[in-house]
Amino acid sequence: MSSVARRPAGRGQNRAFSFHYAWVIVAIIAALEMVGTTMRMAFGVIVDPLTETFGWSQGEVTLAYGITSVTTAFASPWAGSLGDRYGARICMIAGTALFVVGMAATALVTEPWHFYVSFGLILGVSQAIFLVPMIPAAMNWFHRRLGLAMGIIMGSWGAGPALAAPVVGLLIDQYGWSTSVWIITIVSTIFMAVLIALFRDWPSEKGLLPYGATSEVSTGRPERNIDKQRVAQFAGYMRRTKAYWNLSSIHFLGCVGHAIILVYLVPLAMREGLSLVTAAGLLTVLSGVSTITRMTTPMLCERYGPKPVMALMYVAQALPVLMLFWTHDVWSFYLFAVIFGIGYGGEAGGFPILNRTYYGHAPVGSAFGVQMLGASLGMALGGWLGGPIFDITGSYDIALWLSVAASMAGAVSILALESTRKLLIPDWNREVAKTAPGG
Amino acid sequence: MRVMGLPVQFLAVVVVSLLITIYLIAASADARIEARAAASPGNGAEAESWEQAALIVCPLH
Repeated sequence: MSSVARRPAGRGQNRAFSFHYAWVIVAIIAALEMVGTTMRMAFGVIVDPLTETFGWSQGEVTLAYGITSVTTAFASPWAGSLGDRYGARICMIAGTALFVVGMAATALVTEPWHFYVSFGLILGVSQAIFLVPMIPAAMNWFHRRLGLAMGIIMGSWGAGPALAAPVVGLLIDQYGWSTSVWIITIVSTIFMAVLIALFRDWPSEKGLLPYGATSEVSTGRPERNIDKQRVAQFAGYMRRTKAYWNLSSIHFLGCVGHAIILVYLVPLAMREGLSLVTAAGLLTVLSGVSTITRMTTPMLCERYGPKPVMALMYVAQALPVLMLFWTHDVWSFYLFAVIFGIGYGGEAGGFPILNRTYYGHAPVGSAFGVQMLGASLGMALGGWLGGPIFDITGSYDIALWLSVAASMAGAVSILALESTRKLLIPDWNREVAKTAPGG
Repeated sequence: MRVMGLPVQFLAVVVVSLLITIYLIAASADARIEARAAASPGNGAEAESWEQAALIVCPLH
């Protein structure tokens, strides 16, 4: 049993940019991704002001980043299930409420443990509830051009840090810690409230078909009275597929591969004689190039199939790292940043397309949440392991080899995934309806 | 192929990642203890509780 949208799709939907409310949803999600993660994206900017304002050590401050990463990671599968059961919009409202509480508490901190609770725990949970259900919700709106839609959303992930860091830095410089956090809280909350008011979980709420649907089709939306049990039951079916688990470990490997580079490229370049400003420019170039492949990879996956494109991107992330063993000059570091940015940007782009290929229009929030758990743990492990390796060996060489190994293992794992020629759980709604109470 | 209902591919990544993490934490603890011992020779460096736990958990340290 599923809802069926009855209004026929508008003319002109074969053109990539013809107007359909689905593109408004994409713009809303892209903007919310940037606003909702401002503080986390700008964390590098707030470390020094916090140490100067409160006299905390760098270790005490950066521990909060670790806590928020791990909290978001472990809350992600739960957030994905909430999105499937109650819809992304309700999750966004709950996430915004928690965001306000967490930010208000962050503005009032005086001790490190206050910061760990407000920024680490409350904002960590808020981010998971707010962000994880959005990608599955975007998938509800597209039968065609999902790759382009995901490309625009993922491009915003690359653009976010570039915008957030200078804005937060400027505010703290002008108004100090507490006032700046209040300003960010108020402005972000107003912005989020307006965008959430315009957001809809399903095309049928606007009387529309998903973008690219040309006749009466199942929107995949379960009926309200029976949806909770059936969504939970479908999650059980998904857990029995290998892809449910393997996509999480593949995302983990990809994130270990690039987190090592993102965290240790600047120190590595400085050891080769580059200044801090020149070395920091490497991350800007790398992020800029990655934005292009973040946008194009989902489209390539849709056109050529997600498995070969994703495996290629993982290899493209692995091989350039070998350059760092022979890189000593400024120009060669920048050449590395450009080449590595291609694979790094493409690493995550295929996951929504693979989810669609494997599970069709079924509620995939919990699967996406488990994949985000893998990604976040990969970022945490990759970001951490270079430190002890350097302390023990006095070099980053082993960390670089681990980056190459993780990305290559991810590429092999992608090729070993199930075939994408057919759905893993065909006719999911009918199957679940047969066995669920009331079905 | 599955072990305890989980795909081997997934389990292999979990196990290898855990082993690397355990090894690195223990190696880090070992290095810290040795550095403290070198800094104050004759006093005998005492391991902190997390360092002791890491050395017990890792079979290679």
